[in-house]
Amino acid sequence: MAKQKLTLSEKLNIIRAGVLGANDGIIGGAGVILGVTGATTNNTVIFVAGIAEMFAVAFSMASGEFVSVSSQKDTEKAVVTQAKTLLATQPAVIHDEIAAHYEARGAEPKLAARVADDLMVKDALGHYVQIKYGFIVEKYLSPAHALISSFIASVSGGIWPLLAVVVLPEGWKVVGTVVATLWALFLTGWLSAWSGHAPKTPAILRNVITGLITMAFTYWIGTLLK
Amino acid sequence: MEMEISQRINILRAIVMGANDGIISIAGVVFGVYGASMNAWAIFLAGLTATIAGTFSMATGEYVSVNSQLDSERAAKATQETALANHFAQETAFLTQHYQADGISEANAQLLAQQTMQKDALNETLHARYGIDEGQMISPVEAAIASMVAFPIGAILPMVGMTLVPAAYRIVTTLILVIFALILTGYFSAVYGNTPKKPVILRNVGMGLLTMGVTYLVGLLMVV
Repeated sequence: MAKQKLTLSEKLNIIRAGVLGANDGIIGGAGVILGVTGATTNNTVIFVAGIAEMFAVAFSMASGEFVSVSSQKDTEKAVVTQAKTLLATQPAVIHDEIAAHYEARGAEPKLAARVADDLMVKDALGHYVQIKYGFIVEKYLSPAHALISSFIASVSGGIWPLLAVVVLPEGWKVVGTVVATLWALFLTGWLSAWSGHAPKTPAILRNVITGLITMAFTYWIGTLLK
Repeated sequence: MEMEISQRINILRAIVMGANDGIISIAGVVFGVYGASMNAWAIFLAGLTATIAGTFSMATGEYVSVNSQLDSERAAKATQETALANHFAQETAFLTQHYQADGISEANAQLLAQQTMQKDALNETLHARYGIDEGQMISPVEAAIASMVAFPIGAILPMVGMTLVPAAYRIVTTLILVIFALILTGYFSAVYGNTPKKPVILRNVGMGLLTMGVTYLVGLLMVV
């Protein structure tokens, strides 16, 4: 696998994926902790449930990413193999597909054919695969990388509500967890907007409000179970 | 795996991924709490709140993520519209260079840029500058609903296994239910992803077992 330098947009995509993983960890963790706190005052139960949830969510995130990136890699490899065979046996088909693609984008048929001539000389496989299947050859994501980074992202989000509920004194546990969670959600909302070049206020508001609703709802369910 | 089909498949994949997430994370929670030798009530409480919190975080995560992607695309589109209105020649020159970098000769690249800019300048430059193509997005609401429905469906199996089955058979039943469920979601995600089924199923089941094993160990450590 060729190591290529990441472009800025790819780096930002990685940040955004990390932010979303962290977000999942935060909201899930806060929801469980508040839900259990609503139902019981037993600190051990709260603590055990919080820890178990943090690890479980991190693993499920990481394994989901791992499985999906692995199968994406398999798919892309299969597509590339197929395209290589086609290129070796029927290059005219590939030439015409490339030409048709540029024709659809507005080029006159003659120009499109000349453009395809040019592209057949330089990296025909890469152009064909990108046009037809929308991904760049040899730029596979690494499953191991996806696994580790989403695990870290999830834990780095989930740890905040857990720390708040463990560290804070009795009367402050619920308020402190809510505040820690909202603060973390504010940060991840800001980061995700920043990394996506998007307006910050709507991203932050969406994030904080959905977090508030989750915590309120799970706490309420918890009190019903009391 | 053509672009048009991929939109509908995205929804189906969101469902499968949501269910998978529900199975693995709730199995992890109930095994962790069980490992800490908590009673059935604590297992039920942790499992249920984790299911509700997970459902919310899946749904809101999808919603927020797709929305922030749409925000980015809108911002890029606005920037590009201004650029086209004020500096059309520069944008054409940029596009020509972009084509040349792909391997198209200078003469052809110039002509191509002129002709494609005539057809759909916005889309062409968006594609070249940001890698964005219009009409490829799924709606945030659809994605959110898909995961929100799927997560608790997946979560039900480990919950039922761990709380309703008599204590003696609890672990075995839950393990069997979870493995069975992970085989199913692995199978369907391979079908929708159009990939060989066996490696996907094996990876999925393997990761599920690993999750349950580790959270159980973490639970055990908390007792000591």
